[in-house]
Amino acid sequence: MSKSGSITAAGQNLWAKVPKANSELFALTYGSLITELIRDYDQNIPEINNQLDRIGYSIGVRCIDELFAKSEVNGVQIPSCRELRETAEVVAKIGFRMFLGVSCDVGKLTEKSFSLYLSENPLSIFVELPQNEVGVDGSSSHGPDWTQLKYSNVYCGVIRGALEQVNLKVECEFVGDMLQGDDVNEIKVEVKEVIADGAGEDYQEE
Amino acid sequence: TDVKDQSKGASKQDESMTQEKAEELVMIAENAAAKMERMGYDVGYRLSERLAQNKPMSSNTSGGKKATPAMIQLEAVKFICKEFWSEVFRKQVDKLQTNHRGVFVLKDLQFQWLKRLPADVEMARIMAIKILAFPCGLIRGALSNLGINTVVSCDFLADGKNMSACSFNIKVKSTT
Repeated sequence: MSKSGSITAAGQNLWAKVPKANSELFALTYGSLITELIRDYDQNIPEINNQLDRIGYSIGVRCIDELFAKSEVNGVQIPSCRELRETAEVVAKIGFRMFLGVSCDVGKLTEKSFSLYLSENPLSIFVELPQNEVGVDGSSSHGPDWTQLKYSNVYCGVIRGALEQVNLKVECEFVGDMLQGDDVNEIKVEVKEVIADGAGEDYQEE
Repeated sequence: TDVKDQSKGASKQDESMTQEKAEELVMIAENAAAKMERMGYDVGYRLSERLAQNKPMSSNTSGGKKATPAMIQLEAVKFICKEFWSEVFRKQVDKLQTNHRGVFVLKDLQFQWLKRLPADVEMARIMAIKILAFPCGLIRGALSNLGINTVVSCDFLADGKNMSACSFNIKVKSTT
């Protein structure tokens, strides 16, 4: 069996073991979170995207702990990631599967970056973004520009937070969004830095 | 003795400071709770529509008698206790009490979302206030979509010894 096949199996194995929540409850709750953010930040869309990323970061930092802990307890082996391709596969096939029950595909792999393609997005069921307001004369009016909203931007924060815990500093961007009319949801992940492991210089032996 | 007195004074000051701090934390928690309640309302309103979609109200059809508002209320609350609760929390409400005059008490002795909180810790209690606001909103929203306006509040049972035992008190305002 190919390596990616066993990763997929590990993901499904973990998904079978974790307690599930109602998917509609999940999607609706995320929706009301967005509504609340829009209210809080007065329809300032870049700031809303920003906050979603921050929220995601806090989630991701905890997610990775859970992933390792649960896999240990359930005897599921997570392959060690020697190169970026393997990291990407684990995020796509184990991370997304375990927490969301969907898997996504890896593409556009380079030395320093990869893209995750999400054909199914559990956050966006029931969702339709509002149209931009158009003024009477056809010009765009002062309403918020909804095409800028990255509805599922929380994913970017989650990935950033989770990978930071395993010494990868990455930048994530939601570059394709089916809610905005793109063909597929695409998250671009770019590695900025591999944080050196071990204790800081203060602790070095004399 | 001077030194002793001073230290005493300082610790007293500390005490009042922590008191103030605790009150402030409770204030912040309550503001956050109001927000959580509103989010819960939104979710509950929509979710109960999804869950009740294909479910006829049995009291409307049984025996050909016209259902009284009290019967309709009771059935709606039962729907919350059974279907709604098991969809959201994977278990049913443990105990339902009512005075048949528009007051219902739902007791959940093992509330899912509070199971992991430590008992007898003040910070955990403050956190629980925030967490519980959401299900309060859920109930209010769900009932509101079924045509029943309510006020929902919650209490801890067992006085903080077991954080996950709590009750939701529903008071019907009016039926529309």
